[in-house]
Amino acid sequence: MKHLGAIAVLAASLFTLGCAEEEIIPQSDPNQFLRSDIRGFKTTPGIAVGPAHELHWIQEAVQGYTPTDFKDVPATLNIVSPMISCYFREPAEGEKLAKVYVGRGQVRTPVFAASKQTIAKRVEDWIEHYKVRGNRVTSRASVNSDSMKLVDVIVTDTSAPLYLVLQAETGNTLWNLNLTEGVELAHVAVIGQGATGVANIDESIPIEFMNNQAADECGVIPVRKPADHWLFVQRAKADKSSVYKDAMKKNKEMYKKYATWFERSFNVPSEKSVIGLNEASHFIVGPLPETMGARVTYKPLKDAHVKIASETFIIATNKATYVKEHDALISGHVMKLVGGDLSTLSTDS
Amino acid sequence: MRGNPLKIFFAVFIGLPIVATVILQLFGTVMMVSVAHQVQSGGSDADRPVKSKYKVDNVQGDRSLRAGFKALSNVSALSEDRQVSVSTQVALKDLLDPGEAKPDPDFAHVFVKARAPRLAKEECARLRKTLASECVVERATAGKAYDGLYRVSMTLNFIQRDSFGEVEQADTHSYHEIRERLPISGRTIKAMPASAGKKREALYAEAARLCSKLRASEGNCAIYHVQVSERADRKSSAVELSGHVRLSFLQKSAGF
Repeated sequence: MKHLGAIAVLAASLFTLGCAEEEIIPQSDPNQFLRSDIRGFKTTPGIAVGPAHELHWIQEAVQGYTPTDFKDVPATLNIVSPMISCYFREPAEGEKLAKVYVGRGQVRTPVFAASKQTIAKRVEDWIEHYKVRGNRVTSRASVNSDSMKLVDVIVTDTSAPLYLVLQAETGNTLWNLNLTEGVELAHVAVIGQGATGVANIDESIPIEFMNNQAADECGVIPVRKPADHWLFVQRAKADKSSVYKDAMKKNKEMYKKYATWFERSFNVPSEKSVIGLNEASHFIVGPLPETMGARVTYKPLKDAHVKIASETFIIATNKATYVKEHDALISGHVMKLVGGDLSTLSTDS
Repeated sequence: MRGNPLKIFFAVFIGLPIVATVILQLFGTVMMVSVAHQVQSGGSDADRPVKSKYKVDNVQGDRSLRAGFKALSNVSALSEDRQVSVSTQVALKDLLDPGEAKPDPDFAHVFVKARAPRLAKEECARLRKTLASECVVERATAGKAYDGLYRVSMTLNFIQRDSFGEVEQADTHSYHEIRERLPISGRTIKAMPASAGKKREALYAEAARLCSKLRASEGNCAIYHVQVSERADRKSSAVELSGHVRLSFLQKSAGF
């Protein structure tokens, strides 16, 4: 039952692909794919999220949409440094702030990233395993967790120069911009945990990243205001145990901290007019195109130029090469830590 | 199965419990006899029989045979029942090879974990100098401590170097354990992390002397557990060492 929605959306997408010349928008109501989740709502890939949880088929907003898979390797990865300050540049007069929030993305990509802390933990596990088993360890690579999750942002708002704020609560989010003709992006601020990147952004558009160390030091974790439709909130209300009570208190504190920081940074409340969902793959900033012909042509990740805030291990490649490169990195660290001699890990005297 | 329902009822609810009770009682008797001759231990060594040439009447612990008895029953073999546990504090710089650069801070604790087996092997060498004829590393790991120090924990199994001694001929014997603080003065010893190894070595030697003393008075002695731990001295960059040794011996049972 859990996957029926995804299967239906996939079937609709495949049907649409089969009719590439005359793209057909599925006729069913996309709102049926809105589901309650632990920390908000979620939907499935193929459904785009607008303001106030309004859902649309992705084909209503773009033409030539193709689901991303592991073959869609981007052309370049441009590693950029995250910002040092705890605050982004303030929105200028005349700029319109557009806020997008995702708890976590869903679509896996062939861009793999792991933080230094993650690599250190894997090296540690490798060493501890070797001490006990005394042989080489199987790969610690994780396609699922290291693969950055693609989130499309389709921008159609041409009413004013936009200051786009992209917020992700969890790590490894790769935002993919698709701008309708006439959209003017004045600035992009990206907030996230772990690896954070943006694909298909024009070189001329100023972009700032806050993630990893900067986000930690500034205490910035994008968190939504707990609401009644969250399953977590519902459970907390039904179960009066201290576990839920404490967790709810912690969530409220985290939200309050983020809301305070956000308002100071951008001069508006974080929740006001935010377009967001706990789990989704596409967002629409602005109105739906009035005609089919007015839709922007979808820019895929394949052959795109990507900007990523620095991580220890980043690679854009196929799965096999990722595993090979990853394991070589782990082995390199292990050999360095043991002084070049694996036998020193042995407990044989 | 065909038969009178009444017979079936008696067979199931009366006959079976009686048979089960008899079997259990027989099993219990066999087990009691077996303790005196060939004792089955519990815990991690539960399935391994401990053979002892002595008949001893007080060696059953809460859940298994006392570790000290198992250790003295087989003094010439490496056993998990005879071990040295060390919890030491080390500075990262003391683990570096000559000319080796410090690891990246995110990898520092992994570096110490990687070097822990090497430290444990060095500890085995200290044991061989003082109380052991053989030593193997059972486990060596590490974690962060305080003030830039790391805690390295190791468990070593050993065979004691000195002989167990003589046990007076008797029908039955009684088993005894002694726990002594290390150092025996009861005072903690201060040392810089880099020189704490020599201090530990001195404690092992003290443990061996205590056992020799006991052997002189009781005829026999086995060292079955030495524990040494270090903690950072908050007022200086030194560490404080303390520990204990557990010894076991057999005596002829009184009244026989």
